[in-house]
Amino acid sequence: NDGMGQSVLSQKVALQVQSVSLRDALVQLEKATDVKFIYSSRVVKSDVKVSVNAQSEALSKVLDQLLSPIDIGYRVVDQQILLYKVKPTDKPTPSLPAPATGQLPLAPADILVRGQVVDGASSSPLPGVSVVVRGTSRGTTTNAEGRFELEVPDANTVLVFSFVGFEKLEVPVGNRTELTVELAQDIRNLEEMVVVGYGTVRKSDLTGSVSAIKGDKLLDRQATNVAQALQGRLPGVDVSVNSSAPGYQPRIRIRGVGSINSSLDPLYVVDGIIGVTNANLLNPNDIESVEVLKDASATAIYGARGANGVIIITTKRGKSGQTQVSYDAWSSYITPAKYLGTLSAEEFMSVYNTAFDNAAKYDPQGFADGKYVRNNPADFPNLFDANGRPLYNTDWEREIYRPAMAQNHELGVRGGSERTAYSMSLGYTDQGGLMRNSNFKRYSAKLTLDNDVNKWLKLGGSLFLNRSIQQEVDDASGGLNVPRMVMEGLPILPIKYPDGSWGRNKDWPGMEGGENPVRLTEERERRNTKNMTLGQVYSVLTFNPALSLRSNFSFELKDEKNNFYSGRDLNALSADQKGVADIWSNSEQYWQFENYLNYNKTLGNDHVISALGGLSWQKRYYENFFAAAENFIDDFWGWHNLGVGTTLRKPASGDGQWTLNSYFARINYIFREKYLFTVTGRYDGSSKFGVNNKYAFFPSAAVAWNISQEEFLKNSTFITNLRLRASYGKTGNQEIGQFASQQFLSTGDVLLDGQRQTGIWRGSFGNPDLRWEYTNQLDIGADIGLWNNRLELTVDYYHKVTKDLLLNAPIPWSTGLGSVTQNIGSVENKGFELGLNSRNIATNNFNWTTNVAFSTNQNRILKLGVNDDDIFPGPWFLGQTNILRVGYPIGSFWGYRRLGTWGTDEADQAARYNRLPGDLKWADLNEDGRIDAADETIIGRAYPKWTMNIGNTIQLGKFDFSVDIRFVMGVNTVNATKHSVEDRQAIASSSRTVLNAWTPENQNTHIAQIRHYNAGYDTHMDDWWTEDGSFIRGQNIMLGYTLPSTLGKVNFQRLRVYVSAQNFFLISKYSGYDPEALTGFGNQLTQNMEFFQYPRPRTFNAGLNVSF
Amino acid sequence: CDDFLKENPTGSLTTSSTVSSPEIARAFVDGSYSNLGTFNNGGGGWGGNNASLVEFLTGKADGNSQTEAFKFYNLEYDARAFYIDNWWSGMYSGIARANLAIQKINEIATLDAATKASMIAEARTMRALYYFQLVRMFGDVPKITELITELSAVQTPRSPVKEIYDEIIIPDLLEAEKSTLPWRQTSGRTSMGLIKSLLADVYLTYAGYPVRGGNQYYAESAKRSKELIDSGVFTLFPEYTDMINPANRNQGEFIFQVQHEKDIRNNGLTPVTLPTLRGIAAYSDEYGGLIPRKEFVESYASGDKRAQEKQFYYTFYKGHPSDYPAGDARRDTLLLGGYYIYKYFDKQAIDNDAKANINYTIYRYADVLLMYAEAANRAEGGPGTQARAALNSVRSRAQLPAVTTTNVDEFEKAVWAERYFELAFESKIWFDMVRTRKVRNDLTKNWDDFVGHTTIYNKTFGERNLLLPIPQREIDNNRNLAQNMGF
Repeated sequence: NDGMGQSVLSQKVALQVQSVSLRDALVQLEKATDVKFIYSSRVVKSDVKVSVNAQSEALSKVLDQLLSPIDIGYRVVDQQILLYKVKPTDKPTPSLPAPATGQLPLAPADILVRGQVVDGASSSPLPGVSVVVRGTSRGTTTNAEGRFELEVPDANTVLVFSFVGFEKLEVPVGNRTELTVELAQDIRNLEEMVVVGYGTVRKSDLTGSVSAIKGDKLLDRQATNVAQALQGRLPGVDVSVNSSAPGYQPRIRIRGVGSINSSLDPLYVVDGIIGVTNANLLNPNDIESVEVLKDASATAIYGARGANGVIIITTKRGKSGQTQVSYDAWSSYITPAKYLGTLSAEEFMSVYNTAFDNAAKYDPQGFADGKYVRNNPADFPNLFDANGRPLYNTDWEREIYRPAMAQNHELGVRGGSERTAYSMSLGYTDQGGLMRNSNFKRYSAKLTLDNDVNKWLKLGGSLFLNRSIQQEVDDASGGLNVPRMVMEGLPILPIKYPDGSWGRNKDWPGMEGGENPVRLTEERERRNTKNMTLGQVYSVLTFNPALSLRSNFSFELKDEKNNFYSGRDLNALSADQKGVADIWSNSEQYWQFENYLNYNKTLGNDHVISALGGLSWQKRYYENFFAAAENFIDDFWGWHNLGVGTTLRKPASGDGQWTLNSYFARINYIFREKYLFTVTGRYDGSSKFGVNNKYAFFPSAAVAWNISQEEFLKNSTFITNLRLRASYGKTGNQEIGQFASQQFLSTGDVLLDGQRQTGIWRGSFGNPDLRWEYTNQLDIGADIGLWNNRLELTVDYYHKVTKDLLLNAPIPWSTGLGSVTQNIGSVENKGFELGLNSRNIATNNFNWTTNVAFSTNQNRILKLGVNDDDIFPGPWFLGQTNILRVGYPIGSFWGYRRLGTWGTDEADQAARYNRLPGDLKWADLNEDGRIDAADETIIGRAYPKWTMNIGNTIQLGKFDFSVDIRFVMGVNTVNATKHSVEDRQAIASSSRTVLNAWTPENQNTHIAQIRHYNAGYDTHMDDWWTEDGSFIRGQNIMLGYTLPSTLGKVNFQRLRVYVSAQNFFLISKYSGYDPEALTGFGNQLTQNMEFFQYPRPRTFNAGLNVSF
Repeated sequence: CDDFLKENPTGSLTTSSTVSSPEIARAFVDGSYSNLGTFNNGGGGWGGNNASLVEFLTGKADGNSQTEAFKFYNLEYDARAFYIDNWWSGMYSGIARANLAIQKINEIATLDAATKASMIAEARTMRALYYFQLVRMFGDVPKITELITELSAVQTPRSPVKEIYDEIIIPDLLEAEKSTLPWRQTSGRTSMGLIKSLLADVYLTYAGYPVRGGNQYYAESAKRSKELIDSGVFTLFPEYTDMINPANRNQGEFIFQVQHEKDIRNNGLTPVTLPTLRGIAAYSDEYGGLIPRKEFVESYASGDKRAQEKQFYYTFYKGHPSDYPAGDARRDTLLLGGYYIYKYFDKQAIDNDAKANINYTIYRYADVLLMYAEAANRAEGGPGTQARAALNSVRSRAQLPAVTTTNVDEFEKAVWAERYFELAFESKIWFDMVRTRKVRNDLTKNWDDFVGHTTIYNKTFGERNLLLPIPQREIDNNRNLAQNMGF
């Protein structure tokens, strides 16, 4: 019983021993008192040496002195004292009262403790602080007001408070039930940790150029994938959302375009899994942080795959302490930001008739021969009334582009005990599209586990499962697809006639016979399914506090499938084939096995060394096949049963693999926190390269100087942080596809004897001397913090030169082949980046922060091929549209200059060019009296001169408000749509711009006189198509409200609701839907060209963040 | 680790793979036929077709704006025209395939001598055909007879036309002539008929511009066409429309054709020659890519059957039910307001299938008859009975009276004219124009000199128009090439 235990332990005793065995000390105590000690020699090593110096002290005090240093606990049981082993952190308070006889173990009475945690410096509350009962896994975290509630065993409980950026604090509870805890900022950990390749560093120890964004910031705006969420956020990271089709993958370019034929995509590393092919399949809610490595010092650790920059995605994992459940959801209303407008039925008829009238002027012979016979409305009672007025006036644009909804849900559970942390999440995304029947769905699940097996071994792993399904209806770009028929569908047609049959352009004879777009959305389908599984198991062996070994085995399993069907009556798409179905499937397997040693050591006060060294094997294998059939007896089967089609297309399949074997190392050295040095190198061998050049070495070095640590700045209140950085290094690009060094004998079909015969011929010239394309990059940067870091500024200047460009360099056709992959050429990218973060106002209740990300990039081709000759990399659109020319940027547009139209007073001049007044007037640059290839010139650029994003965040009490505005300046967008809807008439409907076409009364125009397409018209890429593509976009605007942290019985860590809007305004001179576009031109160098784009929506969202 | 990084392509042979079977040898030879597709492939522009190039050049054809026909008839074409790229690259691709086949067949030990000789004859004939096309279009061209594998060896300079004839085309064909290939091959492969036709054509051309080889080459030409005629294997079809009957592919009058099969590789020239989007066909696209000039069609002699409706040309058809509503009169008769080519009018494809099932002809018997008439006339110093019979057999099918002249020049012009009318829009007239340097004026019906002839489009041919420009891309990539005059 209580009294007895107390009396046993409170008896006074004297013990003075010096380095005797525990057994001896206990024997002496037994002699001096009447207690007996019981213990198992297996548990309590009695030969361990102890020392005590006690003169008449309570037995409990003596035992504390004696046992606590050797991690032994005790308890009074029936006049006997039981000894037991405790974990070092698990020491019970020494004066624990003895339990009553026979009541083992003790069930303590819980005490409810409440409190608040505040920042010691500002007294502002700290939310999210972990509060744990020392020695247990019992704990909680503070809510938005920094408050917590926790039941503790007793007054002897010690609470441990920990929070990133603050020093850990242990507080004995005592008799208090209400605590106010002040946490002191931890100077060493004040700054955030930044993830870099194979590790993390404190931001202040960074020598390279790395931009980071935390997950919670990322979620500020609604986004369905990482790339979208990154748009405009980080200087030097250019994200183009080129299409608004649901499920579209945005394109990311880091610090310009540094290659021509190799990939331009950055390398994605997800939780250490290198080269994840589709990081956009991740649910953004799963992301803890995204780091973008930009300069050579940061990227060289990825060697041959680092030249396009590296995007490191770290996902959320569990943490010890209380289990946290989070639920994030949003729902969107998607509505067209702009309607271009289409011709009305009356207007169309007027254009149609004018076109026939004017045929007499442009083709008098044909006109006289009767080539131009227009349809007589009287013959079409299904379309016109008795007075010849159209019965229908269909606005196809509004029939097709309609508001849609989207939603996203993510449920996460994260937690853990002292040794084991776990996380689980489930995500679901359902995104509708403006275009009828287009949508995207994604399902994701994720599981992570981290376990400290013991002091020296940590094991863990993660598993990601993703599945997405994209329903595409705007494919067949360049053909008569949905976006095109929106503009070219005749307004005089109905969607369906009263008898239920579809209206189609063919119903008005003489038209290029596209189907009406509503019908296309119903009878043509492309369904793209992707399944991706990412997994990893890792171990960390800690040999001593300085040295550890991390091993990881990771894999990616990917299955992609595209199913397609186009109906048997869809004119110009699949009617000639009586229906087309196909299935393409690709499966990939990737694994990596990496082992690396980490060494961290502080020597005295002056030197900090950290080093990393490791090896890596990577292998990717892919296999694909394609099957297709035509000629279906009904649309019923679609792509579900290819066997129904009786005309079989030849199946196709292929496979391949590549491997990479690498050795890498990095050494960081910091002297007195002032001078920082980093040396990095990776030695990479790739199967993709010629036998003579399999391996290459990619080194980099960086220095940084923390000037603010120098005596003369240390006490400055104005400059609180000033650091200069410089780095130089080399990275590579191995993304050239398979087998470029091989001289292949390809096979193909030759039709002989009424059948396919196999023919063999040389398919590739092959180049055994192929080697890595490499980029040398210089980066000079500064990190500046002013006024106690109220204003933080990061500036970088970079200069990248990519050499040995892998180029599908043209060779003379007389060889029988057109090109060979060669290392010829070089391109330069240089630019300036600025990131600014200003806490304009920072008080308890009112915070206002401004973020600016600004970047410029100047791209210039330095060398091209053997002779520096121009290369036309495509695409071809009525002529070459893009040029690669030394001295000019990649992505230069190519074409004529349009001066306007020939006026009636210029008839003689026009005649020199075989043109009439009313025809287009192009500049005859070489003045040779004809317009031909010699008059083409550079007429625009596809990549912007500068971009900027300005974000403002205001927090006022429980409200938060943010607004992001994005600037993209000094760029052109090609509106190739004009070819179809402006340059020719009486073949389809036209854009409204033809209402401003040349007439004798309206000669000051760039639009040629309306005429029948058969009478001859001019259409060619020119500077009338390469419009100003600069824009200012209201990227995101959001208002959030944090609800009280307690609602009924539930205590929330975070409970927030918000509303937001994306693309809430657009300032642009562009005449199409949106200047940020790429439609129908697959070439990787091509940007900002559109031929009937999918319009961009304006999106309104409401969302909810809950965690408890 | 070396093994780990080894590349192991599984989907394709390489030039160093060892191959030995007769089937592989056959695949190499068949590979050399694959570029025949260039003769009537589409490529660049809506309705553009390689076959249209040599028609646009004559000034007797038109095409929709995107075919860029206007550049040619206005004589404003330049070295970047896509047709020129297509022909140059297509022919050299074929030459490389033929060179590879010749080389590989020699390496394959499992073949018996006779098979080997036949296969080499096939490949060499293809090579000769491709070179023949090149020299007539571009003049002097790079002479390549082996596989080029080294990057240092790609910049081959031009060799004179005569050298290409003397060292490749003629030796290849003379070697092939020694083979035992049959007169007719319905598979579409090289036959003795093709070898003789080609020799007849090559020698006839060699005798003319620019080589002006001499009178004996008319005799060499006549000898081959005579042999073909005497073989009795080939006969004129009784009806012109027999040529657009898919059942007659590789039969009767046809000697050598580009192969088409509707579900494997349909003939793209059929929709190209339809009037633009007039709604007469099951085809979604009716291009109007190659259209005869009215003046040319109307210059046929009166009574010429070929100029009558739906022989070689048509002026009306019926509106397709998918384009014209029931009851619309145009469903029965749709006047087209001009002449369109009927030579590629596969009725089944146009009415229903939208996939033409007719071959594209490179040589047919009528062509050889006319070559014989022309060559024999010159070789013998006047039209002999057989020469006249050859010409008149072609004329009689057209229901035209026999030519009876005994004058060498008159007879020659009669043959030339007959070639225009008989072989119009079959990629023949342009080559006749440049080898004879004469052009029949559709309006005056006189024979103008090529240089100085003014076309229907009121443009006048100059010296520069005798040859096409070398593609600009080729010049950019081969510093050893000089451009043709005037480009």
